[in-house]
Amino acid sequence: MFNGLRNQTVFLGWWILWGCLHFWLLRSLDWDTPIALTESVVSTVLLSLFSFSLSFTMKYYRPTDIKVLYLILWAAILSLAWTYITRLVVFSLGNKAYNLFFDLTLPLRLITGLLVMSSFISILYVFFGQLSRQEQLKIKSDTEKLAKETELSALRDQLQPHFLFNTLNSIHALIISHPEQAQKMIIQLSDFLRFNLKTESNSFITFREELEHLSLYLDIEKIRFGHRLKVIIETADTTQDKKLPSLILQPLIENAIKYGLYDVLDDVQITLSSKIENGMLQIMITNPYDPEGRKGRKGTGFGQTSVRRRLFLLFGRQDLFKTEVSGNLYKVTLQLPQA
Amino acid sequence: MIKVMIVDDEPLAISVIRGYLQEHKDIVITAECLNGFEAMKAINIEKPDLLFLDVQMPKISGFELLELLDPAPAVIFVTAFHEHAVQAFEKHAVDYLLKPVSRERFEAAMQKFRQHSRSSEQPLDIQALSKEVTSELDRIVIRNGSNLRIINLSDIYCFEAYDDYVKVHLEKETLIKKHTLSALEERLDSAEFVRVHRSYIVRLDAITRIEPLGKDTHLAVLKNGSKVNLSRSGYSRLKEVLDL
Repeated sequence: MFNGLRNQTVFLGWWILWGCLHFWLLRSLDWDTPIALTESVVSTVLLSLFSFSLSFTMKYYRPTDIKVLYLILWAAILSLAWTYITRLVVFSLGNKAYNLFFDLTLPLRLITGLLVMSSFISILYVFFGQLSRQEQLKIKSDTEKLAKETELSALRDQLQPHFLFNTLNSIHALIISHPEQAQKMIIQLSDFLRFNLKTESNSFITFREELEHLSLYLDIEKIRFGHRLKVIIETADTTQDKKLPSLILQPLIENAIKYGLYDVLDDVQITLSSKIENGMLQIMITNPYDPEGRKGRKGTGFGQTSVRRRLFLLFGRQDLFKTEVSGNLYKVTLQLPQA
Repeated sequence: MIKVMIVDDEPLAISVIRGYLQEHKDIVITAECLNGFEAMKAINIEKPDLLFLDVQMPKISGFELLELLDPAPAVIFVTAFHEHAVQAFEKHAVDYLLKPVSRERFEAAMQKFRQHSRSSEQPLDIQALSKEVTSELDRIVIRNGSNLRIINLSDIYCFEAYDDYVKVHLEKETLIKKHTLSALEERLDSAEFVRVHRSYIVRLDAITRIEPLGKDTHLAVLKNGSKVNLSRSGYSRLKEVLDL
């Protein structure tokens, strides 16, 4: 509470004012200046010291659910101590008339002390209560931020186990028939996995880098499904250096290949194109699709959900990802705001 | 000679199995197919004794293919499925092989098949297997002569029990599939389909109205005009789902 200079000034000013009032009160009752000065200074200094130590204590010891009764009891003990010490000091002045006056006003002094102390404790209680609520809010937002980061990296790291095992199976087959191609495929798979591992979860990379990574993946898929898979990439030069969240395209290409390959029996052509639209990088991916075959199927798979969610977490917008069907083509469109 | 077929949508995956089979002199590979449609036609012609079958394939899955075969040949699945599915394979199929397949594992599966075909144990329970390995049904595949029909559940009005078969009533036609009504009921979304009678499962959205029939009995009228009897418990189930 006394960290800020402003708070310290208010605290000090308040007790100086209190001391002056005390002095003025005693003078108006016709007590000598030395007596009035002694009492007002001693009592005010004591009172301010008590309150300072109180706030210091409550700063480190948070009474979480303090009972009103304890508050009053504590205030009573403090006001007793305050009155007792003041009495000891002023009695050493040896003015009998004043001593009598002090003891006569004793109840008044005790009650004043009690009121001052209990109101001070209440103020501190409320103040520190608010402080800890603020801290709770901060902890909450920190936790949410952490959860968001974890979620983002989890969404990004989704690697299809099917893909990995099927690729290993293909390599296994090539080792006997085409050892050189098998070697090549192992390198491609390693590069692909390394990129997945080294990229930080929230990082942005250029469209060019993302495409390079994607081509590793596509080369592997072409070895597996080369007999019927064709991928066409048509990107505008101006889009190459635009930024996008790392690995955002891979689940969409995975989906396009999966649905392309599993929805139709014939050859499958996947296209990926890009352009600049309203200052945003726009990427379109299409795959062939069988309206009859897919109509009854539920959901769009984890890939789309994760991309949608990532875009929302990163940009706070729900409108950056769109899907549409035109004839026998399924098309997804991605809009990526540029910083 | 033992006639074997390999069905997988990846030529390289087929080549692995083909390579392993070369050591077995009593085996002849009668066909290699890249999808379920080709496979079904080839199976009808070749009548293989053993099928190496991938699960994830274009248009129809390995499970859907097997549901169409009657009787089904012995099957060894070759898949990249996760381990949680392995138990189900273990229970219901001759054997299952996880990709990539080692020679030792392949030989073990072949030995299992040879023992299996000698003792000719109970056949593969494909309905039970596909129920455990795949999630809720979202479409069904029906064989109509040599043609395949893929029917979306939203096009189905009602299922009717017919011995070991199920009649699938669409708007204007009725198809027949080898499947029991109870096994079907377990794989359908209970919010969409309701068992209204010992012999009937109805799609809720296909019902236009419910009429009293006798003193205590009711029938449901479907959008194509056909009528379905409701049993007493079926009627109360329907009332519950429809919030009447």
